[in-house]
Amino acid sequence: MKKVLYAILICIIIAGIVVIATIGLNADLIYSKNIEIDVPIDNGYEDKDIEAIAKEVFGEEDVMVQDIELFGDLVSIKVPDNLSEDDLNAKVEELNNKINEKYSLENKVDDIEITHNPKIKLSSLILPYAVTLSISGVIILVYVAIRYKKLGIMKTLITYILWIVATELILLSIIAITRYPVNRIVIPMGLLLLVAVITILGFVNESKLAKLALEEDNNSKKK
Amino acid sequence: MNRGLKITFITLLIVLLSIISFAGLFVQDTKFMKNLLPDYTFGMDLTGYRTVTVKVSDATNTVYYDKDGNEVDSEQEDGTSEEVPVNSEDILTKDNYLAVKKIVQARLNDAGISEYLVRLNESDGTMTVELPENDMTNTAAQLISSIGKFTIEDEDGNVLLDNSNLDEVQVGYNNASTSGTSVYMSFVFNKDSIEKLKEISNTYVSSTDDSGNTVEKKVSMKIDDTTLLETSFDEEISNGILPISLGTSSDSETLSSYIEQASNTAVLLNNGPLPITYTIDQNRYVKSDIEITDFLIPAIVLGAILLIAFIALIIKYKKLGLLGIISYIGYLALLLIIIRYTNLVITIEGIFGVLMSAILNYILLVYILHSIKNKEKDLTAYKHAYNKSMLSMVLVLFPILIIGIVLCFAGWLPIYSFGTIIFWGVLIMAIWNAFITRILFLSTIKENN
Repeated sequence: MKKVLYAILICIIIAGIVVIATIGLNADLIYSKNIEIDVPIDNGYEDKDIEAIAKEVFGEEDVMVQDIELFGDLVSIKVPDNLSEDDLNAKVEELNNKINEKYSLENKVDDIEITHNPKIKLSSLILPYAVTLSISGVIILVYVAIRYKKLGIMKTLITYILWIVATELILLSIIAITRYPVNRIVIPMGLLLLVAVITILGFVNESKLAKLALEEDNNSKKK
Repeated sequence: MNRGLKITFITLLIVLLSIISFAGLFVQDTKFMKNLLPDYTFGMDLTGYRTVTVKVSDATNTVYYDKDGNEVDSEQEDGTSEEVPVNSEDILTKDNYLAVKKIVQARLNDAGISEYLVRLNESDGTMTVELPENDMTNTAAQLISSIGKFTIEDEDGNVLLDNSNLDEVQVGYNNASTSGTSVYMSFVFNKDSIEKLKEISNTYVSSTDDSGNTVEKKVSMKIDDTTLLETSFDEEISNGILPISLGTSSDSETLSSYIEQASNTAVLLNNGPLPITYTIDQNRYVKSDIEITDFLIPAIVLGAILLIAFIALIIKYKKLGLLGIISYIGYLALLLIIIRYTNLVITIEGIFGVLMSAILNYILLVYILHSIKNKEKDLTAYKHAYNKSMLSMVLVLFPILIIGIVLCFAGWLPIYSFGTIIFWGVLIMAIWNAFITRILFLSTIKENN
């Protein structure tokens, strides 16, 4: 059973690596190339209404609506950047008409500002974590090597490295295979998993140590 | 103290702590009620951010020529002029755009900007930087768009030294002066330029001519073509370090402004000039797309899970389970108070840090309860089991504390937020359970016996 489970996990990791190497990760709207459409609305507006209009016009579920400045008269709509210029112009006109109709405005398309936002490199998001977590990792490995030396230093170190790397890879692979968008909670999820794995390994090793101490105690009593 | 009274006292203390933490500590302040507890501080992913968009400048400089075709400073009769772009076609390359991004990132890091996101359009060089909205935002915006061109020029505008001669700029201050503290910048020139600076310091001096008039040969120090100072040298500079005083003051505000000015200049020059001239296209505040209502459903789900976990504790461990829940709530309340008082910036990572601390504390509680179960009759065995499980849990959590401590030193806000919260979470967990939970459990056992 254990072997089957390990085989499945290895398959997931391999599939994940293949997906990342070929298609890459699916970045969320905030990190991917997107079109920002800034619409002035002097009469006030509700974000959810604008979101509904944008979803209807662009036929996209992935729409982000944000207020610009604090006066509530300019709204930013972000949609994926996958339209040709002609299609985009047509959609913007439709969006403008619908917003004008909804809020009784007389905005012209020229009043709308369109910006093509380039993507954010996912590596630039991960790099700061990689550096600090590597430093923590080295210190943790030194600690576990000392604390669990009775369980075998090399064995303990390999177990820690393998489990930590494997679980993070599994998370990454699942995200890649399922095309789950890499958003703001993916990295915290990775951190959560890291803490969970280290805690579980700590429990396992502490109980092994306790068992070992008990055996040693029993042996000495027998002698 | 009577054991029942002890339990009641600690329970009331926890209730009080919880009320203060979850509801606040309000006092009358003129017409309004004021919460004495500091507000939570949230990161840019939860509040909003400034977006600064810079574009490759399409400005031009007018170059004037005299009738013979020689370049001159101003328009001349019979002369010609030409509009020359500030960015020539040959420098508008992907490599240069990437170099600009790298320099801007280095500047922001050196300026201590704890969180930012950079988007670069590699085809036209347009760059958008998302920055947290705080006292440093305007400085950061300047650092993004300024070229950082440094020159020392003679009176005819000939460049004597520039960025290529500069090794680094250091900022320092001393209290030697009686009129206050002096703030200065030290322009440290590279080895190849030491002789050149020495020569300049011997050439551009005040002297007296044959008629007894003072003749002063000056140099101008310029940053981005703006003159920082015009001066002549009093003495030879042979060590390659040119100290420039920004001012002396005993007023802390003035001193801070001097230091800020000097530091910003140092950050600008220490990372080299931008190979391309940029102009600010947009500089505006954008509210976060995350609303407080977005947390409602996750909060309800987590609340429900916690409630089930509490019920499970009571069913399995009865009175000790109930006391464990009281202790658990007290722990969460204290953690949140400490987050407020230490002015920790809460980011999404920070929220996960709180969540992680809550989960770990629950695990610890269950572990302790499991260890002391069935030992209620024997007080010594109970104490031994409690201490042993507590020690064991501390050893398990020690690596998490290491992560917390290391991440506390990170300059990147999301990491710092997670690390600091995890650090406080584990530290408080160990202390709280070693004392408060222990007293609660011990008093109950003693009372039962």
